[in-house]
Amino acid sequence: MGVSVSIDYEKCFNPAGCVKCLQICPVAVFGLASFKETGVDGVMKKSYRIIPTDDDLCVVCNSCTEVCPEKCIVVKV
Amino acid sequence: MCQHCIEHAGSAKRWYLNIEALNEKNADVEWIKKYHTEYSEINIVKPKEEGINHIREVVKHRKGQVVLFEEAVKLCKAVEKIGGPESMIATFCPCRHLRGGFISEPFCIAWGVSMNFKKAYINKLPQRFKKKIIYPFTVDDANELFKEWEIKNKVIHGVFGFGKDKPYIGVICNCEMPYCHPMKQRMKYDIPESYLKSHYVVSVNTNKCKGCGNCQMHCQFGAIRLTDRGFAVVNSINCFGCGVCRSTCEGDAIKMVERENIPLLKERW
Repeated sequence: MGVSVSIDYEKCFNPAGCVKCLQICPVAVFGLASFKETGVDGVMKKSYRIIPTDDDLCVVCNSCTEVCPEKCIVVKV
Repeated sequence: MCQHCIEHAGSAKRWYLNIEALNEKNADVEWIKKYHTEYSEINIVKPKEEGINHIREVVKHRKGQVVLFEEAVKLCKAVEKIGGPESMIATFCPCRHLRGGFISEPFCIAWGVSMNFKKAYINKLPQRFKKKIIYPFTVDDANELFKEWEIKNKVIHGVFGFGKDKPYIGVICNCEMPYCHPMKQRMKYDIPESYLKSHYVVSVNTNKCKGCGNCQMHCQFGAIRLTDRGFAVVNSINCFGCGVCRSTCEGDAIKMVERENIPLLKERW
């Protein structure tokens, strides 16, 4: 049984401030990764992104899809 | 014998009690710096993209093992002897921070080279976290807090050495599943060197066992179970020998025995 968890990054606009999916996941599928990116004005900026690193461990409890305020997490079995 | 001890113990009994491993001259500062500054990339982004090969490469430089409460305190004592009470800091665990764990206590004890990089990381933390950081962290703190965390938070203690040939021991972590990266990597990719089991394993005295069930409730590995006959039974193959069940036992029925002396377990680390 392959489970895949995906996040729509266009809807997930404040990952570092929200982290509701991280906190609710019983097997810690998600991880908060930080990147250094150069913005349009040429200044180095730190950006965050939530990555479903261990989606093969997912137990399909669907808590993350319910808790996400933007409904941007999709769990497929 | 445990693999890390074969390679790095020297004249000491255990690799983490080898005094050379606390010598800052042996520390691979470049790698430790890289590990602390690119923590999220090494443990979150790259395992997703490159998988097991990336983890194997990391584990060559980052060696971990579960230790008992008294061994962890002993290590703190050795560090304090070398660098004085101001050489240790208790700060926040990056694993829990980046995985959504409960970050109420400063679970990460760092010293020497690692402490300098941890301090840089602290400056970026929000104010409410900064208040809880313990600096300087003394042996007395260790004695008191490690036990308290074991009982209250069910954490297990682990030592980590950084470096390929001569690992420099820089942190004691108080880990819990499923947030701990080294433990998770061990379980997921089946690489035991990432977080070896401890030198001990649990043995239950069934006459003393009161059947309170605390051990079953606290074990992170599901290795101990209260049977319907009223005493606890341990699955010694799953047991990591962390000693959490021992400190919560009401009847003082749990004893730690040397893994080396048990034929079935001496090759299972």
